[in-house]
Amino acid sequence: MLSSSASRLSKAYLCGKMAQPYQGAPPLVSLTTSIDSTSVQADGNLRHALMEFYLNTIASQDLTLDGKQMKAMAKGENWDELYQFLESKNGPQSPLGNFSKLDCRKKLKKLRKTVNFLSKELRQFGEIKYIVAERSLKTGSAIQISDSVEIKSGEIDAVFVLENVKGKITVIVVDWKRSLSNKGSLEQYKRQCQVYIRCIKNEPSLLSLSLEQIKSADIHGFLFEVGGDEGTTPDFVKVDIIPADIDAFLEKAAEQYESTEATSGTHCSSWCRWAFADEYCRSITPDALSINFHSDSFWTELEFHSKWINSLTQFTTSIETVLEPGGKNVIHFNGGRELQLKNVNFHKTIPGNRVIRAEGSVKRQTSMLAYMHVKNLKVLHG
Amino acid sequence: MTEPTNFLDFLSEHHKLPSFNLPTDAVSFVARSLTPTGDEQIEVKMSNGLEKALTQYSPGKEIIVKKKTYMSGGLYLDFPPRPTTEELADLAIQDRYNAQVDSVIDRFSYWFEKIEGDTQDSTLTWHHRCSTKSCQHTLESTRPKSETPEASELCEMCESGVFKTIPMLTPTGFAPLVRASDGSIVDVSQRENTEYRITTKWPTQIIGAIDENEIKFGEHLELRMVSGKTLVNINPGKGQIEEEDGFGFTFCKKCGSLSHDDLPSEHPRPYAIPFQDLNFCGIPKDTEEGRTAIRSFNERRVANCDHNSDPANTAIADGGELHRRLVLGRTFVTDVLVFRIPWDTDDFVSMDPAKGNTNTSQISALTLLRSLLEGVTGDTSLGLNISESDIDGDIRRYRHDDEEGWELYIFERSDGGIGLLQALFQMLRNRHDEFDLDNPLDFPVLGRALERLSGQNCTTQVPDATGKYITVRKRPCKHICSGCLLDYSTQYMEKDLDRTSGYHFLLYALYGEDFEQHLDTTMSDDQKNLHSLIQRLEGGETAEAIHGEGSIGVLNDGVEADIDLRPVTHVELSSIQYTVASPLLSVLPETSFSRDVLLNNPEQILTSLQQSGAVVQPEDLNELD
Repeated sequence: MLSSSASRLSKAYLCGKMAQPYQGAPPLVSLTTSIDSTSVQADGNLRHALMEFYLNTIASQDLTLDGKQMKAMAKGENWDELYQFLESKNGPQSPLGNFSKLDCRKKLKKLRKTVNFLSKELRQFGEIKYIVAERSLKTGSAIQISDSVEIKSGEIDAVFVLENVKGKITVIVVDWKRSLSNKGSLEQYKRQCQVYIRCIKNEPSLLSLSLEQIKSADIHGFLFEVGGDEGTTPDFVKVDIIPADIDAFLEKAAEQYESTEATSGTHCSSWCRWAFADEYCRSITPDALSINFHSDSFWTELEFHSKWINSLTQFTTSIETVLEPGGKNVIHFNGGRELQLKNVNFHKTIPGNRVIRAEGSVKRQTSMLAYMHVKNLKVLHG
Repeated sequence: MTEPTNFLDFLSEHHKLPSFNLPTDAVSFVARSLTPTGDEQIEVKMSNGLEKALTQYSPGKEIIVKKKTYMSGGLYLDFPPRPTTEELADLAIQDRYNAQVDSVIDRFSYWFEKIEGDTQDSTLTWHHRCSTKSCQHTLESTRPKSETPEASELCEMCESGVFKTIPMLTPTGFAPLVRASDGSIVDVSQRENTEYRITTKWPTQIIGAIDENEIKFGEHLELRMVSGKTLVNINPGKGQIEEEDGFGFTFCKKCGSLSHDDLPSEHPRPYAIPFQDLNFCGIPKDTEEGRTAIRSFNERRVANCDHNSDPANTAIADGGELHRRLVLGRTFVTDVLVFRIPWDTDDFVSMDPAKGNTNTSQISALTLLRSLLEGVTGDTSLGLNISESDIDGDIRRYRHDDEEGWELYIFERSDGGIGLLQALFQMLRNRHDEFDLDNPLDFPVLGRALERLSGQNCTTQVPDATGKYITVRKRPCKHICSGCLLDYSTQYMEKDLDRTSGYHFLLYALYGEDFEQHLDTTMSDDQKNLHSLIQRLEGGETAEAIHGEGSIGVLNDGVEADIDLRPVTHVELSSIQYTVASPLLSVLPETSFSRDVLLNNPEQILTSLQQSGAVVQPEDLNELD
């Protein structure tokens, strides 16, 4: 019986190398440029923590979701309580970063939008009966989710149990995501959510439900955006929960669990510690990623037009290219197509025929011009 | 031990000599060509104060003198530095002559060497600015990044941006490009004139640090006077530093050429080289070494400059990083009048909007600043006679404890300041007791700004019953108009201004969270537009515009038209009230829509109405099932 966490299982399913702990030199040190990835991570962690505080401390008391309650969390005396909670979560490793009251207020404004939207959308399933955030999967004994896999640790971001007037119970399992802009890169998180749903089905006491109640309940899984762009409706993605598909995933994940083989795909990003490390992953190829500047489809398909998509990309320079602050910073592709890099804060002359791995928000402006706000960039060895 | 300084220079630089508001930092534009016989010819020599020269003489700018058009193409030095006798003493004779020829041909090579090597020289300084477009926080340090540790950290202000570090050159003079082969000025007919937009930054090291001598108006508006602050004027070239689409100038350290685009390896110099330039080098004609040097001089002076793409000639190095672009600018010390207004972090739109979104926060602050500037220069009753050429202003963000907001600062343009703003501040302080929140229009500067922003001076076109457009006065315009904010000083920033946002921000400054209660009927046309939008939707045909009392706007004298001037307060559909809310507000109830969304993204209103069932829903609506 394989004993694991949801995160490790979903990584193992996609790529053996990604699932392995990083043991080389500290990653990102040789980057030509990078946005501090720890600050992005801390930002995500802080959003999770604020949501946890709201759901467990406030919303679960009166079983309602209301953005106004959230606004009050960082006001006046309430701030002290919230601060204590966040400090206790932060610990010596500071996963939440150096947060301030102002940061929290800014983030809470974004989260309020999600809470209000969720409140409206959940009404169709009835009244909220139970709310829990960061539900631990540690129950004293491992939760068996298939013939060969059991889960011994992990937390579910949020679960809502609702009941309609006919007594029908609906369980909503939510995984918060900072961004869902790149729909093609969510496989890992969908798989994680499937594991959570299996855990709940097999151990309903996690939600104070009986086995009989969970058998008759409807269960839905969602990846939900916490803090998308201002003025927009929060984005969400529904997770499929076809039993045969989940079984196949678990079986494959178990098979590949100890593998160290790299498999490139849309899951590749700077979240994988091998993507930009000194000993970087050599398996990534442009055509395996969501965005491939060398392919016609990127320059013609509607899905890439006029909206920002966060993605890892890899491409080869055709001619010598100068990257510098204030410069045009254009990468040339076949047929006169141009990628203009923004946020370049370094000077580097890159010869032709060099492979560049870059991550950031990409938008195709016209059929000949695209932009990329660079967050990470590395010139790979020749 | 500091270097000895000329006493008069010292007094002048520290603003201890009377300048009578005349520029003491003149910068010349010199067209140095050759006559047909090869002699030096100064076709044009004129000068201007550094601030004006930064926009009027900078590379790419057309200058017309005596009906002849010149285009600035690089830097100019009247007396370029040359190697000293001591420096030449250790060299072999041929090397000595070559060095002297080099200094005559490449007039800027020693100059760049000097300003790069001298840490006390203020000609080459460094500008560190947050790269987040909505932030632009600027560090006080003028030293390179290698000596400015905070420039390598995340921006304290927005907590997400990294700093762009850019060398900033204070120009000594400008000149047009000259054809090396015949010494004539390069023809400008094929080149495009560039209009520059100079930006002013007030760098600060400590966020929120400002003297505490404020006067407070209303709920949130604080006014302070600070003296002797160092500000920076920057000409960033064609693009703005924050725009990321290319800015600054590439340069040649040999000849001083500047270019917006990549400067070609071989390029014309911004000066001609007459044979006489070699006269004072002391190179003898009667030795082999001398003849070799003279031959070299004669060949090189009629050939283009060539920097060979060598970083030594095209980049300024700092800590292993090469900077191939620089900006032109000046630092100056002046008096600053600061209006500080916090931004409501909880309920207002973000100060750091997502890429591509309207930056309402910045627009509202900039709009308010421009109206305050007009309030100072346009109000003759102040009796201070402050003109537009005396002052200017800009905005910067501040962050203090758990508060963030905008500082709208007005500064005196002359280096050192001449006390105009001090007099204004004193007057406002003396009259502070007269400020009445129930009648703020009577108070100087603020009252005038409030009146303009409220739309009382605007003129709009409204259709009459036949569809013919009729001019209506005293009716708030949609964006900005010549009645409120649009004039020659703001036309270049028209897209960055919005009367409504500025008005709401000033009301918030005065009345706090209750500012919407003071809007009166100023958003009537927005409610009307919402009504038109909803009526066009399937299921929204029965939407009704609910009118308030009175009328909004007046017709010109003698004009008669069948026109409905009643204000619209809200829209009603199926007994539900729908309204357009302030563009400043972020989180709104389901029945309220931001003005920004109404104008720029009405589809969002459509989707919201469909989702709520107020209008007919499309079959394939994406919802949680």
